[in-house]
Amino acid sequence: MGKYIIRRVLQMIPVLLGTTFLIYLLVFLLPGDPTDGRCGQRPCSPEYVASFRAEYNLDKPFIVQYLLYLGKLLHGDLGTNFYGNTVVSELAVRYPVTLKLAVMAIIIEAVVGIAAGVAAGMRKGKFVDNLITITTLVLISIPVFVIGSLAQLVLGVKWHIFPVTSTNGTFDQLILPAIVLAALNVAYAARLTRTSLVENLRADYVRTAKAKGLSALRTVGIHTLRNSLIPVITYIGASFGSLLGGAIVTERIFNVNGVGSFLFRSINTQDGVSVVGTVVVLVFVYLVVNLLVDILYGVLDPRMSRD
Amino acid sequence: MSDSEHLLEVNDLHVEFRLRDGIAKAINGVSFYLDERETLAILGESGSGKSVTAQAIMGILDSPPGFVTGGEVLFQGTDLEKLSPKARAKYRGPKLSMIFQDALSSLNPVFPVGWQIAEMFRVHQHMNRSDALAKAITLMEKVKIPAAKERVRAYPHQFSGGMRQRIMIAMAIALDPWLLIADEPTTALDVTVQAQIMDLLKELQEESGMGLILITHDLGVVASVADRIAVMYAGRIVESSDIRPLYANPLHPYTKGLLESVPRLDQKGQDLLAIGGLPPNLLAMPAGCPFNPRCRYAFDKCRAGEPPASEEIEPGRTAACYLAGRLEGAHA
Amino acid sequence: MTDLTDMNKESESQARIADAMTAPSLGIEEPQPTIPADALEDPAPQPVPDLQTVSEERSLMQDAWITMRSRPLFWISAALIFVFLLMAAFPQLFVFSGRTPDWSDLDKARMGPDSVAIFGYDLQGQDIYVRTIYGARASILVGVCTALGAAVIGVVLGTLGGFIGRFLDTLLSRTADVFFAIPLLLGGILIMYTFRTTAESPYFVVVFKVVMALSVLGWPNVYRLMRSSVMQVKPSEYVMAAKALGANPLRIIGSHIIPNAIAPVIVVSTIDLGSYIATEATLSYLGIGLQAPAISWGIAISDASAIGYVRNAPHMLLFPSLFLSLTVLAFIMMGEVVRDAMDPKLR
Repeated sequence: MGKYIIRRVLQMIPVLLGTTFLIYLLVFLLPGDPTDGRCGQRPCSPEYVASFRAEYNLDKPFIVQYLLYLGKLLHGDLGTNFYGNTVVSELAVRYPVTLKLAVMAIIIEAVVGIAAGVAAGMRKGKFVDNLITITTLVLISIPVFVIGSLAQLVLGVKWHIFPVTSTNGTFDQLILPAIVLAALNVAYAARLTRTSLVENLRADYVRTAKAKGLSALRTVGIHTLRNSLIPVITYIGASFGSLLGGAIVTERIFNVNGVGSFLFRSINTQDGVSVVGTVVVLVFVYLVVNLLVDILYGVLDPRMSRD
Repeated sequence: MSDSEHLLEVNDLHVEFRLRDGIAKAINGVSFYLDERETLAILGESGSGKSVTAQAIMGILDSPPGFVTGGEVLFQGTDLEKLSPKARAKYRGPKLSMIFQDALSSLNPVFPVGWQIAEMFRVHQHMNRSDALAKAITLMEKVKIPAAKERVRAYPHQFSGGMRQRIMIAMAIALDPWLLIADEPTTALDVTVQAQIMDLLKELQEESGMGLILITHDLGVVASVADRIAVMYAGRIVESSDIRPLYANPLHPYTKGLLESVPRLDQKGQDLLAIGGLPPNLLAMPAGCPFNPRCRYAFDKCRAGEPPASEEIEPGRTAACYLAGRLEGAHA
Repeated sequence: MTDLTDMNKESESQARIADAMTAPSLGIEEPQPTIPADALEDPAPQPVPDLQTVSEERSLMQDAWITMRSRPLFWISAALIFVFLLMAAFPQLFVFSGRTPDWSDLDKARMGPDSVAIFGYDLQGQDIYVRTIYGARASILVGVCTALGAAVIGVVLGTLGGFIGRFLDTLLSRTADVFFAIPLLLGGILIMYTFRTTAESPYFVVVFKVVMALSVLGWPNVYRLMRSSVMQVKPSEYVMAAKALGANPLRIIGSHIIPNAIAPVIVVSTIDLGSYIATEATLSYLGIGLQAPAISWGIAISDASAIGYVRNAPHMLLFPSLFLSLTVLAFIMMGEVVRDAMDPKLR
């Protein structure tokens, strides 16, 4: 197990380096002045340009620039935007509410997705299965911002079931945004659970469980489900990435004051340092979560962690 | 249990698979019996219905698509087919149990082997966790798994093929069943390991007196362990016989073909003949005897009407062939 | 010693019997709900093993087609895709009122449907029906071009990586890992933000940017698939045979490897196409994809989704949303129907 974890961590390092390199390349190596359009609609003040050039070592050779940038990242320095605030401090204020939203969405995704998937898989080809399959297909097809706006319209504005906006980020205000954010992944989790369950119900060890005289409940509930849920749990972990993307949209719709709306606002105010800093953090979080998921996979499936 | 009763008696068993493309009649009137301490080999190609027969006896057919559509399975005089699924599940483990060809896929990959063996005691005897695990270790020792105590927490993939099959056997004999069905238990194993597993099964049988049904396509395995043999083709028993006379004088052309396709130590320089053609498609069975398209003795009667019925040709030997017992004289 | 050889001999013949026994009859021991159609039509034995791979390939495709055409979902998605493609190419065919997307009557702003504008009017009093019809072009253009772009990059690199292997394979695979690690929307935001567009940027330039951004992020999907397909096909007998006959590598790739590996690529590209369309709309919605005066469902939904409008003029939100979702649905559904048909195991 220890070796497996170390191997996974080592495998992540080149990906992390490559990703930051790519982002750096994109943002700082483009033709034109890198300070161009970093200060909103106005041109940058000469002082800001000077401090920016110094901060990112733009007079040094490229590879040195990148390494120095990487060093800053490792120290948790994501830069200072033209308002004079560090990106880290901006994010620090906002991440708790986004984290809350994401965790709520993950819980919804796991509970609803697995329940629906099991219901469909156990009655393969029956009405429930078809209903769930079609529902998930529709959910997958509707972009988050459409689901969000429609849910806000119907559940918030028309029926008054949920608050229309979530400005304070309290639990009850975040329920609807969390459902919207989870909707797409609920659909994928349900389908994956179904496929995995159907596949495992055909496995040889299920026949063995029957031959052992186990009840149907024990055969499915313990032997099959344990195996079926391995890919589902890893998917749910990995879906964190799309949750982060979705959070940008969801937070905008419901006016949640989190990392997502900060990114959206930064895009619209052309606050480049904040955009890049936030995306780097989100990608980093995504990679770390994926690493944790990989390790979890090794724990869940004894075949994986074989050294 | 009266004296005249067999341990297991299967009468006129029918099984069909209701598939999207039609109904496949997998088992068409199979009958046989088995006594305690006895070993019956069921021999046939894949698709002949031998594994389906075994699963039907156990009551673990995948249903749908598989359905038992007729016949009885008498175990110690009780017709298992008439029992509720729940009551029948209680038979599996303490009374009859089964091992499978591919022990790796037949064991659950995510639970330790000891846990899987102990589950038998926990479920059927409501034993507590530590007692059940202790029993599991004893069983692993009984089936000669070295260092059982240390390996009880290991997972199936950490064992070799032979050791995995031993674990399957340990699980199957945990509750001292009366009947053990072994479905191609050695097919996936090396030759030397095959012999060890067969020896182990024999030894366990002698110790407990259980009946053993050995399902195989391997005539070599059959000869050394079985008392009687039933040859299946296309869902029927085409020949049933004590072991010795079958080798000396096969009654059915199919059995004869099988024997001819295996090299024998007592005959030097003989030609090996494979049986030409393929087993029939169960969705489109030929008229008459199902073996007729591949049979070198087939004549007009074989190609029309119902398949030939099974008849007693010699005491203790039956065959379903118009030419049974007269194969030497007949030539294609 | 003699014992051993005899045993080997025996096991060899056993293996031979086993081979004969596992020949493609109906595998009843593991009952499968589907049986190749030709097994039903042709009960006679067909023991010509050399031709088997070829006929199996063909029957797989035929079988897939037979399965597909019996499924209503296939026809529904095919019809939807056809309609949306037509709408993208010739929007005027769908407009009967004679209004252009630029037509506007500010007096009618945010008014509900009437007999001419069956979807109602938007903020500028423009006909939502007309604008929704014309909005198909952006989505379809971005979706199709991105899917093609990602497929071309993925197929070329995947074939090279899989076929040549060694250092190149490692390099390409690690590069794919890096791109794969960036979530589509986040990467899209970053790239589109870097290559910023303004309202003055020409339509096709913006579309091209979005296509490039999403293709660059989307190719690892195809790459991984293509690479593993090539690795699977590479050791097969006909590729070996072609090599032995001295065919040049490019020829082998072109005539043997790609045709065999391309089917799963098409399936995945079709499904991905749906998500590219959704991502383009999301980028436009966030204000960094297409921008007005370009016509796009994402922009329309963005304009309509301010709280006040959602409350008072929900029709502005509803119709572009519906069209967008139907388009995404059509492609995802098509991809899944084809995938299911080619993999009977999943049914």
